[in-house]
Amino acid sequence: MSLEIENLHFSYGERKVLDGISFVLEEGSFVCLLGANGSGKSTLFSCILQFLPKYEGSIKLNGRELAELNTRERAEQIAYIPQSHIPAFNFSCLEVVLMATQSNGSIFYVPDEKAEETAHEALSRVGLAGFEDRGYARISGGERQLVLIARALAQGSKFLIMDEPTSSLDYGNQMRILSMVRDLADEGYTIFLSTHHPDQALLFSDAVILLHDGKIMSQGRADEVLTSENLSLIYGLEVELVPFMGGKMFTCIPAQVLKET
Amino acid sequence: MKVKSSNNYRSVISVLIIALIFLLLISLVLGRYPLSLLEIGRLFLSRITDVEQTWTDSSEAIFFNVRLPRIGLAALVGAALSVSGACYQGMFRNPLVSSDIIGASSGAAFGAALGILLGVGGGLISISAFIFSALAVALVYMISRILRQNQVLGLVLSGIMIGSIFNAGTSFLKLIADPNDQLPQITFWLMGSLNGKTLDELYYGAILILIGLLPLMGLRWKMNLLTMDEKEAQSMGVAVGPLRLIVIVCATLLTATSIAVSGMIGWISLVIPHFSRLLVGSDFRRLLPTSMLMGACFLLIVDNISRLAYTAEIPLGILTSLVGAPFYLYLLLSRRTRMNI
Repeated sequence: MSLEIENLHFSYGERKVLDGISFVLEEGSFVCLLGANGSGKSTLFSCILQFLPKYEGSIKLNGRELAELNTRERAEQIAYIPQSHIPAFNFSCLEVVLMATQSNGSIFYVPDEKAEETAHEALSRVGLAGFEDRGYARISGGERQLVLIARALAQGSKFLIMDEPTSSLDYGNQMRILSMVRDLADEGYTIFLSTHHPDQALLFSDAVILLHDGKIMSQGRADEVLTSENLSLIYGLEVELVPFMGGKMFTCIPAQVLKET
Repeated sequence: MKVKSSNNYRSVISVLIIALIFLLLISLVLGRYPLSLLEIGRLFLSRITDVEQTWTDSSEAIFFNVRLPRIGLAALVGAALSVSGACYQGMFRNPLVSSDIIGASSGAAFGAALGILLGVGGGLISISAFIFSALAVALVYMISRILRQNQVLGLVLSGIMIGSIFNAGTSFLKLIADPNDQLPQITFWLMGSLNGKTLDELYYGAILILIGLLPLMGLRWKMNLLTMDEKEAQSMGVAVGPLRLIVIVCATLLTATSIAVSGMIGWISLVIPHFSRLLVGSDFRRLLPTSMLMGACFLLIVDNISRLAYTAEIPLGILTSLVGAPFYLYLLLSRRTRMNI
């Protein structure tokens, strides 16, 4: 399930948001997308998911142009996991997961027993067995994010796009979610995840793409891409990478904080 | 906290079906000219097969020309308004939406008043009501999309604005209507009544309501997805635009037909979906049938009060407002805790 993007351009009117983006995501890889606010991360996801179909360039999944697939065919290939949110109506967790099971494509589709089984399995897979009848609006933010991951698994697609899935979660839930995503990548899922935390990319990802002003500033292994220079430039703040465990791992700390200690 | 499950649904639906049958029968029996159940049964059979006449001609006239159209339409209009309210709430992703709030009722009222003023027949009044109702919903929807940062505010403001434009239009029509003939007709009709309905009106009302209801019942699972963010729904394989359009067109057909047939009967489209959601949860697979049955039962009860409680008939709109307005206030006051019911 490889994704190939070639020379992607997108503008909101006169304002260029994506400017000649090209990269390849290999099957089974966990790739983090980093960039400052307004760098084009969400727009890039929206182009891939065809929410913004008026882009220039090519977006291919397994060699097929995504723009040529219809909505259902695309849903079979790519699942989208937004930030957890509270919907207008309080569906049960099972109902939320079932929503992604649209397999037969009929406009009058109603989930059958097999779909229910898939949804139960997906909830168990993310550790939420027993949550089937719980109200989605009434569980914690971390649990809601897990339900959304379960929904993506029930959708059956092996390519998962995750838009800042940990942004509203506490530290414990952030780590639990990212560990689960790492496991999914190890099982063969291809993960493309945006985050504002370089440390998360350093800890969990196989590769990183750094976006700056709508262009790819750097891409490759996290420890190669997330240098002090690159991070300082994209966030407009001096950042140091501090090695620990004998240089096997790194963490980001603002230079100002380091100087003061 | 658990949400209402499918086990609960089976009992609710069973109770509602029994209640609806009971209410239909009791409503057909009750009236200033009482009919017995046996008489009603034989009158029904007489239209299908040869039955020896044991009833008076006036019983037959009252049953087929007065009571059956009225009771049938009460059940149909109650069902249609409730289902359309549930659909609008889902499509606008807001549990406080109803056909009254988003201008559908005001548009339909204007269209129907225009039809009465022009002296067109029942069928054309429905079409006129539908066109203006659809126009009002389309305008409210477009304005709320422009104000997408705050869709709830956008919806309420645009609903009030479009509603008041159509209300002004209806007032203007009343101003120029013939005060001896058309004006009383429009005024009484605006208060909502099922008095004086004919079998023909029942037939075309039933056909139009079925045309609106059937696609919605078929699409009710997919409607769950439309209550999610548009991007999410699309990423799960739903063609959001066309599906939402079908649902809104069908819901508007239900609202417009109901208003053309029975006049302005407010609040049902807001209140009944809420009660239904309290009983069976938010899943449209369960919500729509429950709303349909509960709406039919509710309007049958209200219509019985309207025609039997007092010597002069009390307009339906007055009775439904007496129940609906306090409930709406309750919803607003307890919104933080009750929004996600």
